[in-house]
Amino acid sequence: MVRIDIRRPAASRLIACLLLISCQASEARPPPAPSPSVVTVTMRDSRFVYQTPIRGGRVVFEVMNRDGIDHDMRLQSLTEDVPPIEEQLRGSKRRILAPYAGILVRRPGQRGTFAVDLVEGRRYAFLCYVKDDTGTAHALSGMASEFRAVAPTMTTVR
Amino acid sequence: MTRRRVALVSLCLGVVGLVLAFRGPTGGGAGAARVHPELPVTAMDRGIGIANNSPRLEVDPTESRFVVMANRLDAPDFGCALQLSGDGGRTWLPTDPVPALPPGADKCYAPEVVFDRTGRLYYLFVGLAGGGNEPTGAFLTSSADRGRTFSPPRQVLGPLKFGVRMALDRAFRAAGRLHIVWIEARSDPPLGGFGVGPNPIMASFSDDGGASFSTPSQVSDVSRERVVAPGLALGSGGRVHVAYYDLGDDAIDYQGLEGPRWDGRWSLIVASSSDGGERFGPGRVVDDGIVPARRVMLIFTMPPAAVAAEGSRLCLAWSDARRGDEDVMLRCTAEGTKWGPLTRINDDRPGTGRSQYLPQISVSGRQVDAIFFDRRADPENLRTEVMYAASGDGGRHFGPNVVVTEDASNGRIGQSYSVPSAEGLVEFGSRLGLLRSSYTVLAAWPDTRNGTAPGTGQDLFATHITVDAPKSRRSSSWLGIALLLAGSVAGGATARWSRGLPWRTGRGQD
Repeated sequence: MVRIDIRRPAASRLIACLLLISCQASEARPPPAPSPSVVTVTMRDSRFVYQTPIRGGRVVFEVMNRDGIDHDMRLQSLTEDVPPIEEQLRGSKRRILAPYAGILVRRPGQRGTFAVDLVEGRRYAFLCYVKDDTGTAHALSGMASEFRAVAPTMTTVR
Repeated sequence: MTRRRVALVSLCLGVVGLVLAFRGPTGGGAGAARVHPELPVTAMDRGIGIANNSPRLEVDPTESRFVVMANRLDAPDFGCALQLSGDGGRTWLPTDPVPALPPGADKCYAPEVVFDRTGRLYYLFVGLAGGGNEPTGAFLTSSADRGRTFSPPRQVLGPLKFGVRMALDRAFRAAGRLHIVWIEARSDPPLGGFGVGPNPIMASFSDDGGASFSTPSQVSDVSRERVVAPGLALGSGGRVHVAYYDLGDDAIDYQGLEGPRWDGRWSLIVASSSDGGERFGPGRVVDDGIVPARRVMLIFTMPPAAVAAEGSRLCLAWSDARRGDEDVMLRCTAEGTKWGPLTRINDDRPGTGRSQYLPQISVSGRQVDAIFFDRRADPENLRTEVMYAASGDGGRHFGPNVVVTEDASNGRIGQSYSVPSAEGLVEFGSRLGLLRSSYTVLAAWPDTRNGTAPGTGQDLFATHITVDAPKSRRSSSWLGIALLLAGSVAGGATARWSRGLPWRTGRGQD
């Protein structure tokens, strides 16, 4: 085995220099850049499955269709005067919701992805507008889910 | 065998092993490509229909995880943007490089981005003003803190400059040299096209980070009257290459007149400088048989040919319809003299009526990477995928094309213009983004997979493509590792041996 004798002055100085340079290099610049949140949404059993809370700010949604039928996913922004989404969908008076974001139809096993800028504190809903054999949109059969974007936090890449 | 000779042999084994194990992707055939799942770069909003396109990718030379993407916006209005990634291009966040527009500019447009060797980011944009979106000048801003703050924009070019491109030679002298090229309109262009030429292509450079620029010099040949779409690439040793199209007699596209697709030929020209852009030589014809596939939608934003250079190698890629439908073609030269053969990059059957277009390339030794838009899977020639192809022999042959996108885009979604030349056409931007590092390629493109026509919403998407080392390279890498280990073992044995034997002086004896 080759041994480096650090008692030798030259070796000690070299190691000290390398350590000093690496420390200075890491302190001289800020971290590269923050990253957005990435949220996985699974479409399974005609439901949207995902973890909460979902934070405001830039969010990348990765959507997987793990069901046996086609689905799409639309993200709608809900104002405070809109009733809870399940109530809104089943009610006799439905508010027209402006288009916001989402993915087109995904076959079983397909993936979709999109990015949005969510506003902290605002309500949003996932809905599937694919129709079943009776011509009923999946959203009216329960494939709808509402969440409220919470305070954003960024992951800083170091 | 003396200890000295053993040590020398150990050292040689180690050096050879290091070279074989860790050399970059040069020579040999291209390796297999693995495409990673793409992610969106920009946020969508169907209510607004933001059209993001024309990405340009650059990496901070001091921090490889910091990658930036400059892009332009075509809807709901013209604009410019900058995306930042701290994880090598996997995820992205926007920053605002122009929080306050300079006086006289109502909008920013068509940005360019580069890094100098210290990691300072330079962002160039064109200012537009008025209902006619007339260019009021080109402006330069910079950031020394990875896009957190930007300097006030400073005007570096005057009004009526089109197709502005920027590149930075970090190796040129102490501070590096910033290059810009543009089309100089000699008269106020009418709606939809240039005035009667010449409107030459000009170049200038700065050695002080854009504080001052050299007197502009003409790059395009004086005899060529209809030159458009400059592209810029830098080689080593002060080499500067400016590529441009010569439309010849095609006044219809040049002036944006009414009329059918031009049935004549265009030429692709490259003018080069070997002294850092001080002087350019006469234009060399890369190809003089380019068949336009359709009308030029808007001559001011016509996509330039893709041009990439490394060392003395120069490659150009463009699309043309000489074989009946639009194909992506490439030509390279080494040593800067004789052009190599014309290579068709897309590997679908010729003459199917399905288009391949908007190529982007990078060159690294004999490795040439290419991405392009491809419609081969759609009989209607409308749905667009992104393809990747690689050559390991300097662009003479390309491997099988690889599909990059999981979903195709609808080619009908995007901005359209109410000028005669743009009838029936949709704007998809002037370039794709491509960045090569070691065995990974980062690709970026405008995408409409999540939209429905009619609409203008275009999102930028990006993904990594891992390129495996070719088999010959993998074998040599393992050999290199084995030699390195052998050299280390021999070196260690020599060190132990040295404790028992003195060095021999003079002519040694075994």
